[in-house]
Amino acid sequence: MIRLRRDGMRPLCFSGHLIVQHDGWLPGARLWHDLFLYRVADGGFAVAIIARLGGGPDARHASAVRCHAAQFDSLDRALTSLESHDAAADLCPGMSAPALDTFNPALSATVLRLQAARLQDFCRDVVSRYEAGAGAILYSACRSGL
Amino acid sequence: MTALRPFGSACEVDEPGSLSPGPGFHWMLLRRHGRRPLAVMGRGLLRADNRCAGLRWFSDIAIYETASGRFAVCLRHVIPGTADPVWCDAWLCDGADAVRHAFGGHDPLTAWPPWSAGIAWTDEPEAGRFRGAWAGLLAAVFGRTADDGPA
Repeated sequence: MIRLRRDGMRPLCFSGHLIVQHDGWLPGARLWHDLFLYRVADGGFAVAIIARLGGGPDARHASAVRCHAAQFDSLDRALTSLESHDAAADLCPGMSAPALDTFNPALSATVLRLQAARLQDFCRDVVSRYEAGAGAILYSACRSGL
Repeated sequence: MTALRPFGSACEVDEPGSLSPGPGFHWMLLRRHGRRPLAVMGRGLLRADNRCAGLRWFSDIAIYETASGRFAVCLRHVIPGTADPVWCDAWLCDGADAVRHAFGGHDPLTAWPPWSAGIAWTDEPEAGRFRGAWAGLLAAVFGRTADDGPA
């Protein structure tokens, strides 16, 4: 029995097996996504998307900050869920840089603009890494004969 | 009679048509950024990269002639020593002008910002080298046109 953790919901449980997975960690990554595609024994497919927060020299000490999992009756719908996942929605405040004290009267517009630019860059980086991972797992799925 | 496609249905397929494509054609699967891969029956026309000392990444491009009568183009940005490209995509183009346009419209800094490789986002010289190396690769393959500005 496979048991997939889901945020705000009971775990998704089914009999089946893992077809392909993609580990999204790269050196220097602060937030990345691990992706999994399963075949369900009763028919259909399941997808798990786990956003992990790290920052250390490797992926061992990362923690899962967002867990998505869903079951689909067709391969096409399962793959579409991987293609359309909004990776930016997995970002949380404080992930990319320490939060600013917005009540500080000395806080200048320049500092705010700098912080905003950092956040935009971080967000683009997370989304781009997710898309690279989605492309990789879709490629692997196709190579495996799906 | 064309060879059976060795991949499953989880890809977008450029159907080769009913005619025999001729020697050198075979099925290939081209990885894409955030999308299902593209399966084409094709043969390679060109492959080039700008791998050189001093750059922490390189880009490579490939152009294939497809059995459907079009061109498939691929580009990848790669960190040397890593298993997967950090960015890659593939498109179908109807003609040579479209091929040039597809590559010319690509900005590596927009597609794959250098801070993804741990380079400080304020490191403009490094970013400029990345963009310059990409432009140099295109100039080497396609030649320089009036649209490229002065050399």
